[in-house]
Parts: sequence; C-alpha cells; structure tokens
Amino acid sequence: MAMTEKNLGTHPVPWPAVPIPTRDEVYAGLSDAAKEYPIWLEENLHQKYNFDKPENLSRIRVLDLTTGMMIGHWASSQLAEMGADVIQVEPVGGDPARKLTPFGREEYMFTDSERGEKVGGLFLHEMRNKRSITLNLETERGREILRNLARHVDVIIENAPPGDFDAKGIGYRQLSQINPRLVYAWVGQRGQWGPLKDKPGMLEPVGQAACGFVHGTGQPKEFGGRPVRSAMWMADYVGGTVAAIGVLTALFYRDKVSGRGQFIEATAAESIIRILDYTWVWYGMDGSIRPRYGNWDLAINIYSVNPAKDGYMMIGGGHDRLWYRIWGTVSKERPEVEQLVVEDPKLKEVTDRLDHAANVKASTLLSEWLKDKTRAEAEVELLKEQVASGGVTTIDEVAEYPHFKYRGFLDLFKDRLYGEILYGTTPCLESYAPSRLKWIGRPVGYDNEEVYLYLLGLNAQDLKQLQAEGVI
Amino acid sequence: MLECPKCKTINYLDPYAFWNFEGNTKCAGCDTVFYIKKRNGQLVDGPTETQGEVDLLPGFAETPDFQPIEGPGKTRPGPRARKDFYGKPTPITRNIRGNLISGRPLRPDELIGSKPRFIVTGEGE
Amino acid sequence: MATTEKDLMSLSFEEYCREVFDPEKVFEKPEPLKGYRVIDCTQYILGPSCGSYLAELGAEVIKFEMPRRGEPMRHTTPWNERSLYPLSRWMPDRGTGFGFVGANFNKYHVTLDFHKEEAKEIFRRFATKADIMIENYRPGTFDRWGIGPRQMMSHNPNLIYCWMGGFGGWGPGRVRASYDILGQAQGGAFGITGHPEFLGGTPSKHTIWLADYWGGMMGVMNILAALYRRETEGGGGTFIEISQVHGVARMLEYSLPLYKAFGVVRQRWGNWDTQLCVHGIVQCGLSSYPDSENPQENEEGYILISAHTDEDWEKLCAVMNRPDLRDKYPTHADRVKAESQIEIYTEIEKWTKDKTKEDVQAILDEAGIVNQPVWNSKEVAEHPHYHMRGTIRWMQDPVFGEMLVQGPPLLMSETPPRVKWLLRPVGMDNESVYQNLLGYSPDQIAQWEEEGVI
Repeated sequence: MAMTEKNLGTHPVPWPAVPIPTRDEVYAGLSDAAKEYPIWLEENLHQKYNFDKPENLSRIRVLDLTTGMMIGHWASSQLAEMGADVIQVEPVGGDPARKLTPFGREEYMFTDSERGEKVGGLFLHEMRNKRSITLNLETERGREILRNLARHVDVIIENAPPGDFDAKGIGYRQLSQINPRLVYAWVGQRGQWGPLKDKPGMLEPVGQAACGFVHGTGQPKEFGGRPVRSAMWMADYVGGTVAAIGVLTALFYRDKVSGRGQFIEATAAESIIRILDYTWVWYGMDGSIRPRYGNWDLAINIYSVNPAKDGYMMIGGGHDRLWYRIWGTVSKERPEVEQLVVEDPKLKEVTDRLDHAANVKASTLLSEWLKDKTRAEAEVELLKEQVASGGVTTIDEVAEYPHFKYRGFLDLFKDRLYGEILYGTTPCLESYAPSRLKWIGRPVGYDNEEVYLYLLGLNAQDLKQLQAEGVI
Repeated sequence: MLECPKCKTINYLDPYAFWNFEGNTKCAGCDTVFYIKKRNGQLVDGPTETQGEVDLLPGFAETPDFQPIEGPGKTRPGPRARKDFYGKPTPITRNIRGNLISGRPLRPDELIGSKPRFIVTGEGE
Repeated sequence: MATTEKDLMSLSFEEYCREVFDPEKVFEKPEPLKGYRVIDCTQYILGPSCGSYLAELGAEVIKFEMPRRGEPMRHTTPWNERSLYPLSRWMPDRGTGFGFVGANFNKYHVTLDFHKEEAKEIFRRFATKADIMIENYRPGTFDRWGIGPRQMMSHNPNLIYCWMGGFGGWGPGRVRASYDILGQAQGGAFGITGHPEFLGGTPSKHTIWLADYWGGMMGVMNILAALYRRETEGGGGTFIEISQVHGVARMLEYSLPLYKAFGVVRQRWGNWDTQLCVHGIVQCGLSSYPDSENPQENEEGYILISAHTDEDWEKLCAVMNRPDLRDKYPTHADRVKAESQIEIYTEIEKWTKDKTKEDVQAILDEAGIVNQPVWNSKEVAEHPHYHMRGTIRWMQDPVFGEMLVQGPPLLMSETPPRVKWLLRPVGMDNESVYQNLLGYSPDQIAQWEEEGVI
C-alpha cells in the first residue's frame, strides 16, 4: 500500500548502504588531547569488547510466562541481555504474539532454518537471548510441572488474567511456599486487583489510554487535531522497564539482606502515570486538566517541532543564551524575522515567552525560516551558534545515521537460526559487565528437550508422553 | 506570517494549521478577508482581498509596535487547561480540596529555614 | 495488625493483593536500598529522574545544584502559571516551576558551583562517601574538572558511575547536545507516531518526556544490575553510559528488522494498530461533560475498541447492527489490511457519532467487548482504582503542603518504593550534608555560601 510503506518493500536492502565511518575519520583533525577522552570511553564501552567481559546476572534464571502483550517480554529481554538464563514458557502452539505482523502480511515474517516456522518481527525483536519451552497450564499435570520448575528459578514473570494463576494453584502464594526465594512479578495493563483490574484480552494501547497519555498527545482540537496514541506499544516498554527494576530490586534485597523473594506488580498504565511529570500536582493545585499542545511544549518556548522544507524540525532553546542565538541564526537570512522577536517587549523575560500567543509567534516565525531549509541545512546553521536541533527522522534515516552506526545503536546480527537481522541494541552500555545479544530468537518449544532434561530430569520418552497428553 | 497590506498588522498564520492551507483567512487588525494558498509552507497564491466567510483565523496578531490583537472573531483560541486562565502567575494558598499549599511568593520573614511558616504552623497564609 | 501466613492463604485473591500491596502499610516495610548513597549531579529530566527512582527505592540521594538559582528545570512551568514557593531561603519570592516536579522525589538538595576550584576540591571528597554517582554534563566536562569517572573511580574503585545524555561521549555525534524531543525525533519514534498523511495528520511527539523519563529508568536498571553484581560477587564499580537517543531507537519494535529484510519503511498509522483489527481508538461524537466550564471537558470523547478475534468482531458487528461488515470481513486477515481498516474505522465512527464514550463503554461492556475510554487527566486523577493502589495519591509534603502526586508505579510486597517528599528548595540541606558528611563547620559553610562556592 503506498500509504503504508514508503516503497512496496519486497527486497532486502543493503546495510550499511553508506559505509560506517572509521575511528580515524570520526576524530580527524582533533589534537591528541582533544580525542583522548572520547577514545578512552570507546575503549571501555564499545560493544565489540562485550564478550571479553563478565555479566551482571549470570547466576540468575528467569521464567517468562507472559503471552499476548509485550510488557513481560520486554522485561525479560533486559534481564536476558544482562546475562540471566531466561526461559520463555509458551502455550502449546506458541505465544499468539508470534503471529503478529503488519497488515497481516506473512511475507514480512521471519522463518527459522531448522523448523521453517514463521514468526513476526515484533515478537522476534523481543525474544533476544531467550529459550523456548511449551507447557499447557490448563492441565493439572502442566501446573505440577510448573511447581517443579519454580524450585529451580529465581524469577517468574506472568501476565495471566487477575487471579488466574492463584486459582490454578501456581500463583505467588502457592509457589513461594515451594520456593521462598522466588521473585514473582505480575505485569499487565491496569492491574491484577482494584476496580479497574485487567479484563482478559486487554492489550496496549489500553495502558496508554487509561492513564491520560493518549488524551494529552497530538494536535489540540483548536488546531483541528485529535488525540493520538504512540505508534509503539510504548506503555508496555515503560512498564516492562519498571518490572525489570522491581525484579532487580527484589533480587538485590533477597541476596543482600533477607534471603526471601517477594511479590511484585507493574502495570503499563501506572508506569506512564509516574512519568506524566507535573500533571497530577497541577490538577491537585488548581483543577487544571492537562491539554494537548501538539508538537509544542507547555512549559518551555522554544522547545518544539515545526514544519520545514523536507519534513519536521526540532529546535530547543528557552533561556536567553539559546533564545537569542536561535533568532541570530535566522537573522542571517531573514533579519526582519529576528527583529520581530528581539524588539518585542512582550518577549523580553523568559517567563513571558510561555503563553500561547508567544508560542504561536515563535513557531510561526521559525517556520518562516524553516520553509526554505531542509532539516540537514537547518541543523548545520543552528550548530554554528551551538544550538541543539535535529530533524524528525524516518526509519531509513535512522538506520543509516552515521553516529548510530558507529556507536552500534543498531546492529546487523547474524543469527544461527534466523539469518541476518537488523535490530535495536540495548542502550545500556557498561564498562565492567556489559549487556549483549547472544541470539535473536527461537521457534516454539525449541528447547523442550534440553530444558526439561537438565532442570527436571525428564527424558525423551517422558516428553513424548507429555506431548501425547497435550501437556507440552 | 501575513503582513496586512492595508493596516500593517502582523498576522501569525501558525504553521501546523496553515502549512497546506487554501482558502480565506483575515487580518485581525482591520477585518479584511484574504484568500491565500500555501503549499509546504510556501505562499503560492495571494493574499488576495476577497469577500465571504473566513475559513481559518490567524493564531495570533499584533500591531507593528507589538500591541497584541486577540479575541473572538480575531484570532483562534489556544488550548486551555481551565476556564480561568491567565498565562501568568497568580498566587494561591489552597488546593482543590481546600487545604494549604505554598503557591504564593514569600518574604524572608515568612520562612522557617527553607520552609514556609504558614505550611508548618497552619497560620498566616 | 500483623497477618499470619495462614490468614493470607485464606483470603480471596483480591483481598490478598489489597493486603500485601496496601499503600497505607508501605512505610511499615523496609526500604530496599537503605544505606546506599547516590551523588546526583544532573539537570533537566534524564539524569534527575534516575536519581529520583533510586531515592524512591530508599537510597540517600544528594543532588548538587548551582547556588541561589538552582537547576534550570526549576524555572520552567506550563504556561508560566504555577510555582511552588520558596525557590530557596535566599529567594523566597521566586518559586520552583512544575518542570522540576516528578524528577526529584526524596532528594537532599545542596548547592555547589563546580566552576570554582575549591568546589572541585570539596566534591572530590564525596567520592569515598558514595556508592553511585550520576551526572549528565557534556561528555568530558567532569573529566577536565578532575571529578570524572577516571578520577572518582580511582578514589573509590567501588563506585558505580553513570553518565546519561543525548548522544553519548564518543562517535561522530558526541558533540551534539540533546533534549528529550530531540531524542524522540532523531531516534525514530516521532516520525512513526501521529495521524497518517492521507488523513491530514502530522508526526507527533509523545506528550511525556519519554526519552528522558524512561531513559532514566534504563539507567536505574543498569545501576541496580551492577549493584547486585558488586554486592553478591565483588568486582568493584563500573562506568555506565546511557544515551537517550539510543533508547528511543531500541523501542521501535519491528521497524528495523523489517527495513533491512524487506525494505519496509514504517509509516504513521494514527490511532489504529498495524497488526490487529479491530484494535483502534475512535471518536465518540458527544462530549461527556458538555456543560463543563473547563474547555478540556467540552471536547468529544474517544475510546479504544478491541475486537480483533472473529468472535469479538461478530459481537461488535451485532451491537452496531452491521451484519454487512461482518460478512465483508469475515477473517482477521481480511480486517487487518490497510484498506480494510480505513473502511472499518470509518464505519465504526458512524456508529459512535451520536454517543458519549461512556455510552459506548456501557454497550461494549454489556457485550463483553474489550474497551478503554481515553481519559483526560482529571478522570484519571479522580479514579478510585489508582488511589486504592497508591499510584496516585494525596500526600502532605513537609515544605509545600498538600499535593496530589504520582506514587511509584512499582508495587512490592516486602520492600516497596515510596514517595516521601515532592522536592526541596535550593540548598535546603547544605548545612546537614556538608557538616555531617564532610565535617565542615557551619561558619565555613556560611562563608562559602557567601562567596558563591556553595
């Protein structure tokens, strides 16, 4: 569809299309003193050294029992990349999320080389470093197996409907009696208890809509706009990060102080509530309801994205130093525009630049200049005055941005089963025990034999029997 | 922006609403209706004085000596968080539950250390 | 009242959760990071939020700000309206703006002007007092000042030093400063969010400072993992570098894999989902509060409808009385195509045109169809669910009075995080920190305050 993909997208593209700069090119022209610190950083942080170094969570084992949503898979990805042995426990037939693919296009799915099984990009991108086993928790035998598995793991993450695992005898109350060291996390959209506890089938963007995020995002009605959701299942990723923080905190406290695990809960909606900054204080003080303000900011002017010749441009600079440099840059070609700003007594004080009229004026005048400039041209001009700016990028631009390629924000991984995958790497760079990718994913139940053998001593015969009974 | 040829009022045609606009807007200063056509932010036709309904008001306007011109029929309102909205600080000392909060400027003698006395003691708000 | 093991087992699941996650009991339970100290030299949101999350977990976080005026974020507030007074005991007629709120819970606030030589001397003495140090100055700045990772970690090899910023300290983009929405824009999340071109939409920022607030969470996550490793295995400290632009690129889901493998360049798809249909947010033609004086409440409502299984799709078509739609799109594969989605949501909005979002919610609840109204901040703030769970609550801040605040989003049965205070005036803790930790006399501290060192 011309409206959904920029090109019809049928062929692999070369990557990198433009070669990654070399270190000499990156630091060309710098004195030794000037490049000494960046190179020290590189030498300590570059991902190419990852496998020379230890891992933070090498002694931790995790069971990820979540399905359908991404919040649990995101959390377990973080743990897996930090060295934990993460086992994804999927229903027989696999996690339904494996089937997700944009517009239902099967031709955009990935196939593994051993079983020829298809999996969608969303799921594959979030299966990093994890094994896969199958287990049918609708059967009593399956629940019994889970109880046995619980003895051998440090962490369990699940997102079953509220109370479901408890009713099945495999909730925290029951499993903590079997393994008091167990750290058990429930993740979901709104909660596993309370008047708004999750209903089965709830998925992102339920979390985004239930917390005020969607209402506050997009162009205001006064500009002819509507609220809009994040393109991504964003609240799942923020919620998953909160869950990972909870798990790590619980592990820390267990192994440092108490010797016991605990019950954790993290939701997509409340994780976003946490980061809706001043919204709640503002309401509590004077009843203000946070409005959408499009791509402008309620609290800082200039801190906005506005249209430019070839797309959209972000420019920031609220305080005097940067404010005057921005208009100074504009004045080089449009001196009358700068005059309209610097001669206006209404814009002298920083705090006077915050009302709506000032925002309209500033953004209109910026776009007066930007309409004749590409994003790249505008960035260069502003950088001359040390003003930070940047264009809104498209995916192909992100993939080819020299800084991202050099730093490995994205990387082309050669997976044994799935071939070459371009993926987003973890932003956590560390000198001592860095996170790293070992493999990108597995087909359903790929590790049944190995995991059930080494954890529970079940042999091939046992597994065959369990398979016949529909337990595995 | 649109500088009115008749009265020199500067009308700000905010970028998101007007980037690909075709139709009638007006000068907030003298109420003259103008037809304009913009494509990708560039003015490709107009401003041509015309009669008829206004399709979209400017986002803001001011006189050449920076006197603001705003209001119904002149410029479009911005989003508001409340009914009574001033766009500048107003002192408050009670929240929506009617309890004390420190929302007004203080004098040095109103502090205990770094804290507002009236919050600590409950008196003198 | 203590509940025994047996009591807990006999409760219903709902009662059990209310008991173990009771926000009223949070302060009776231990803090997980009790006894750990963090030196926080951060500004804006990315760095400070990381410090805040650690402080919510019980660490003692000391934040360093410029004397008198404090950190720049204190001087931002939505539409210039509200501030919390005093800014400091030196400037009680000025206030701290709301931009600072949410990123600085539970911290102790001191002042220090790093540009002054004595300040650097003073600061170095904190190295051996801290477990964790976080900063977000331009890369290399602290190194030049003799208080960067190389110096501080040599004074204290156990120190976990975390730098957070936009593009990182190495590579071609290392010279670029960054802001949150610059991270959103350059990282790719901005360009794919928003209503599609063909519906007259534009790319849209996320209303939250996503890259910064969530980037701070990724920082905390790495810090906690390093702390865990240090405390259970040894090995000393570590240097962590978090780039918020990198963080945004991590969140792009299938975008990068599909770009390389198939040449797909992901486009905006507005309020609909690219992978599931029906799973989209539609407009309900009526306002839920048409007589409200607040213009935010006069708007039409919006609601997320999720009916992507064949079974739910049939139910939805039945309540809308549209058997023709059901027959036209019998399978999910039929529904999820781009052109199908355009028609389906257009038709759904014809059905919702004369209803409020509550009307639609009631009908869908009755039919057993998953839905979520798009709530504004008042509807969320007033909802008993969040108050019961402690994730939004009224609290008495010791300095500023009674405030409605977000609680930590993390519920933990044994060692829950907690919000003790919202923020503090600039330099409020100068005396206690500089005397208690470094042994300086009150006279010395006062003199340095006079000279602008502190």
